[in-house]
Amino acid sequence: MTTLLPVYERDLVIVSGKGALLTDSAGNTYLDFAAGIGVNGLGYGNGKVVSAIKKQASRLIHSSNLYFTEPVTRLADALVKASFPARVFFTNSGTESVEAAIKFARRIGNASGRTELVAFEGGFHGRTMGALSITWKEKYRAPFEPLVPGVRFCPWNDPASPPRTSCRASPTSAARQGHCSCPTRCNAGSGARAPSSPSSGRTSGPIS
Amino acid sequence: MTLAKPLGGGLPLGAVLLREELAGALQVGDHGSTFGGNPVAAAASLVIMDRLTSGGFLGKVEKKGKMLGRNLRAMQRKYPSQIRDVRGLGLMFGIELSGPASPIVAALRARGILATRAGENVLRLLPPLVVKRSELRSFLVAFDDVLAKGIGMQMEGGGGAVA
Repeated sequence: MTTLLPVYERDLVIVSGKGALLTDSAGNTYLDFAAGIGVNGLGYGNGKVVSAIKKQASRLIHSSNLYFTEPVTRLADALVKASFPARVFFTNSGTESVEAAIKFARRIGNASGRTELVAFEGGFHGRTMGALSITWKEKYRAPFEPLVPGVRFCPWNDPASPPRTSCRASPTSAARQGHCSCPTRCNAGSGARAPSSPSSGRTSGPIS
Repeated sequence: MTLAKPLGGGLPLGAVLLREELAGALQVGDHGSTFGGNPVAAAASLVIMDRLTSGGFLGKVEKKGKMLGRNLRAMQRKYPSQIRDVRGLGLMFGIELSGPASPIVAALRARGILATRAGENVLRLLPPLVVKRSELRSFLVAFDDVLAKGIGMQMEGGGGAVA
């Protein structure tokens, strides 16, 4: 019996982990091919990660965005250095990142009358209402209609479709190229699609 | 570009990177987050970023992924009526089965492996990037056993192995 809202089917109690192994409350050990749904990239019990968490937690756990904190500014720099010239907005999850991206795209597009959001068939972007609106699977969306309007779904990996003016854009070039913004994510786990082919001109695909 | 999942080393952390030339369109007050950009999560993330970008880590991940992919495709050739497609990048794979994925997930768990499904027919493999080659081999042995026993297959007459 649990007081948790039963939106997941589960029966295992996980207690601890080391490397790629997990141990349950009955003492069984498992080889983990789920990584906490793609979260535990460096496995379990990573000494450096734990020590960094302990050190920072003992100094300052939270101060809000009213102030700068050193780990956050350093991380923003590291992310930009590893990708492209950008400004970073931090969130607490993928769906929150997508919500922010949708707002940014609308903010930028609205200035020139471009309000359409373009998403790809088979894509999964999150469970919150905005991210859900651009998530393909009807089954996930239907019980929560009406959702965010102005969404167009395009076939994945098909350079011929939709019209070039609409779907060549990446979310970060919406203002430059198209009528709309294409939310694409660097983790397409639930979409289970083939990676984007180089010729399609798409700017993203699943990565590990 | 939106990010999350392994970014915080297990702690909740996500990010959006907005191209520098577009960032001017966003003004103070347009968006916010009380918890977004937590310093503890960021401290963990700096360790992750450092590991990912040094020591040829990703190159090793790619090699392990190629090994896994080669073996999964060999398994597809061995069990063509059970495996429809194998697709993946790095260490993330989706194995499209001809039957439901749930019985395969259950059978793998009985063999000490935790995996999930993506949709009705796709077995999703997403091990931690630090998974060892020996552990990948253990998975392949278990998966081969599950397929050899025809678990999850619709047999003529309606029967079929379940464990």
